[in-house]
Amino acid sequence: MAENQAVQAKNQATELRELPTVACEVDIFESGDGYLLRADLPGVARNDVDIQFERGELTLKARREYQVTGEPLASEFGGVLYKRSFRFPESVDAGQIHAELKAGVLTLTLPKSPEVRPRKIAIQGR
Amino acid sequence: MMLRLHSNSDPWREFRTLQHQMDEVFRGLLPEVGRRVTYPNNGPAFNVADTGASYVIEAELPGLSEGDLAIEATVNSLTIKGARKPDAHEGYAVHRRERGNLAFARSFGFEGRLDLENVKATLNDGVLRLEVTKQPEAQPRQISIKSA
Repeated sequence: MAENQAVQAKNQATELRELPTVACEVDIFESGDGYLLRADLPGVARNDVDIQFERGELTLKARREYQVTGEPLASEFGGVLYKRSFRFPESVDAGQIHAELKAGVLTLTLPKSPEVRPRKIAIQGR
Repeated sequence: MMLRLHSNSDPWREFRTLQHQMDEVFRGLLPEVGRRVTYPNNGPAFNVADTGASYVIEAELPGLSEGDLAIEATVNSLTIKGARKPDAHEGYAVHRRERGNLAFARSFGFEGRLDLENVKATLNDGVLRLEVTKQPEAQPRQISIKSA
């Protein structure tokens, strides 16, 4: 039984190694309130996305399996392991990061902590 | 290439050989079945497969909805056109822009005739999947051998 599990674990590891690692295409925008990141992850299910944020470093990992049906005539994509990482200024409020996956596009909003957001300063008149 | 006209009893044989060779040359220039016919600049990736009874065409189209796509089919070809609407970001500064607008048109030619009444198209998680059934005469048939 234990041997079986070991074999299974090994197979999974091999499978992981076999998927080519690809950098997904990303857009990053910034406003006064925070950052907005969009990444193209076609065919990736929500459970296969792993997002980590640690000390200003955002790491994105996503995985897609692909099974060919029939005899391939043209083959331009397959299984893939998407991987990207970015550094953000310390001002990102890590607890408020929000992620959404829709139609194969991941949208991440990373708000800035309130103390670094720009404030409009009103000039007092007499 | 030299023509050896004297070689055989059939004087047209050499011409047929030459014609055949010329056909081979031109065939090499023409698109293969299921391969790219139009070359867009770095458009989305497509897969095409022959399942025997049907053709399956898949494409990576993140961020596109049904309304952004136009699919046209004839008995022996399929054209998929689409464009991703640019995301409007007013008041945002751009740090990185790699995703682009994704406007494309791809055509595929097929050997077997397509049954245009039997086309299934789905768009899930940014992947388009089209399954087009072949007309019955284009489907492979199993021939059983009867023992005497």
